Parts: sequence; structure tokens; C-alpha cells
Amino acid sequence: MSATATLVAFDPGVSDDAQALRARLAPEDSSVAATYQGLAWELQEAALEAAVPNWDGYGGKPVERGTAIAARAFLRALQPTWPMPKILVDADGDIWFQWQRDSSRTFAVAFGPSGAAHYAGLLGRSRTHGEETTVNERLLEVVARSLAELYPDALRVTA
Amino acid sequence: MRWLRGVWQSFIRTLFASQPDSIGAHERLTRYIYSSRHFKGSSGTVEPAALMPQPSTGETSVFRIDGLRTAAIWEIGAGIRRDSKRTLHARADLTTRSVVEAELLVEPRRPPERHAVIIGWPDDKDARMSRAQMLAAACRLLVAPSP
Repeated sequence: MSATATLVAFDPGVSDDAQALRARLAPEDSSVAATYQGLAWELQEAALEAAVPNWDGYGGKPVERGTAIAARAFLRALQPTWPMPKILVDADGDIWFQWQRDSSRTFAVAFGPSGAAHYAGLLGRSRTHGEETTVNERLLEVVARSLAELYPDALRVTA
Repeated sequence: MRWLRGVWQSFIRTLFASQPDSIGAHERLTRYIYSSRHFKGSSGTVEPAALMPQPSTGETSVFRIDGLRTAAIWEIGAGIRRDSKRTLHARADLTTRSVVEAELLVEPRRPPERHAVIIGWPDDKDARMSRAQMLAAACRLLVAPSP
């Protein structure tokens, strides 16, 4: 199967928890839906650019189908109030969702073929990093908290 | 044309001048960037993903650029990937000190001349991401000149 076909045809078959999250967080109005579509397009573009070995000139691994599925599941769980992330691929072929105010205030979540989520944040002088086995409530709480630190004027964490 | 040959030979000598085996604490390094997603020219930022180690080696490839003229620095970056037809988009300059502050190490790795690698990356992916964020924060982005 070609890289294009693989990435276009991926089916976000994820856990029950993530399915429930997706249903709860599904975009309801047209502007949110348009944002989601824009990100879905960017995700596909990024994955296609990194669909061949050595895409980065340093022997970078290509994006695998499982990675694209996991990233798509996270994309569906993004909250409409969150700022738009940038989508990137790293040398492991993992897909990053990254929010960045400037070089010393940044937060990213990365997905690989296992579907596990690895996150890291540099929030001024403080750092955070960790892992979740899938897109779940804990991960979304970490993202929400980190984004509230990155964008204090725009976002508040509610109990 | 003799002067031109002299300039060229001087350029080549500078480019491939042997470097000491130990890397100085404040030595300048650069990471060449061949993916347009790995930097943001408008804000002058280097994406941490651009600095993540190569999966096959666990190392991040860099070049030692002390004593080189600007044109020579760009020429190395373009030259090393000429065979694979990769476009050099930018480079991220950093110092040995910033590598150490990110709790990583740098060591020479020839050939090619002036090549070095950032080593000591942690096993956990999220910890590697964190170190890459620290490194990126210390980098200075330079966008490649138009050909």
C-alpha cells in the first residue's frame, strides 16, 4: 500500500475511554469543525512529508500507520477552547502536537506506533514530562493544566 | 587568476582544518535543518523536534563551527546532503555550554571533519523531549540564504 493510501485510510480505532471522550468533545459548531478539519489536514500533510525513510536528512524513521491513528485520536480529543497546536514529526517518526509561546515556554505531546502519549513542557524555569499509555482523562488534564500555564490570560483550569 | 586560486585554497584549508579532539566549553556548534517544519522563521525559533537524537545511533549530529566564515558554515550543511538532494533550510547554532546545561554531552565524531555528536540522551522518550526543549531554547536560528 502506498504511504498516501495508508495515511488517508487510517481508522481511529481507539479505546472505549477515548471513544467516549471523542463523543463528548466532538465539535458542535461549524467554526470548531472547520478548525478540526484544518488540523486534520495539517496532520496528514506532516505525516506525508515524513512518510519515507530519511525524510529529515538524518535517517529519520517514517511515520507508521499506528502513529497516525493515535495522533488522529488525540486530535479528536482536543478541546475547542485550546489554542491550535503545531503538528510536527520527529526523528523517531513520532507525531508531535506542540503549543509554543516562545522558545522557553513550550509544551508538546508525542505519539508513536504503540499509541502511547509522551509529553514534555518547558514552562519558563519549570519543566514537566511524563507518559500515558493512551489518550485518556489524565493526559487531557495534564494538557489542560500545561496550556493554562502557557496561556494564563486565555485559559483557566476549572475543578 | 592566481589570487583566486589562493583564496579558494585558503577556503578549503579553513573548511577542513583539523579540530582538536576535545571540545571547548564555549565552542560554537550548529545543527543543520533539512525539514521546513523544524523551525519557525517568523519568530526565530528552532523546534525541539529538530534536535531529537537519531533513532539508529541515539545521537544528534552537529558540526563545530568555530573559526569558520559564514559562507563556509552554510557550504558544509549543503554539501553533506548534496547526494540525497535534501534542501538545507536553516541551521540552529548553539554552544557546548548549552548542551551541558541540558544535561547532555558533546564529543567529536570524525569523519567528516568538524563533525560531532550530542550524546547522553535518556532512555525515556518524554525525558528526551524535555532535553530537546531545553536545547532548542538555547539555540539561535539562522535561515539559509537564498540560492
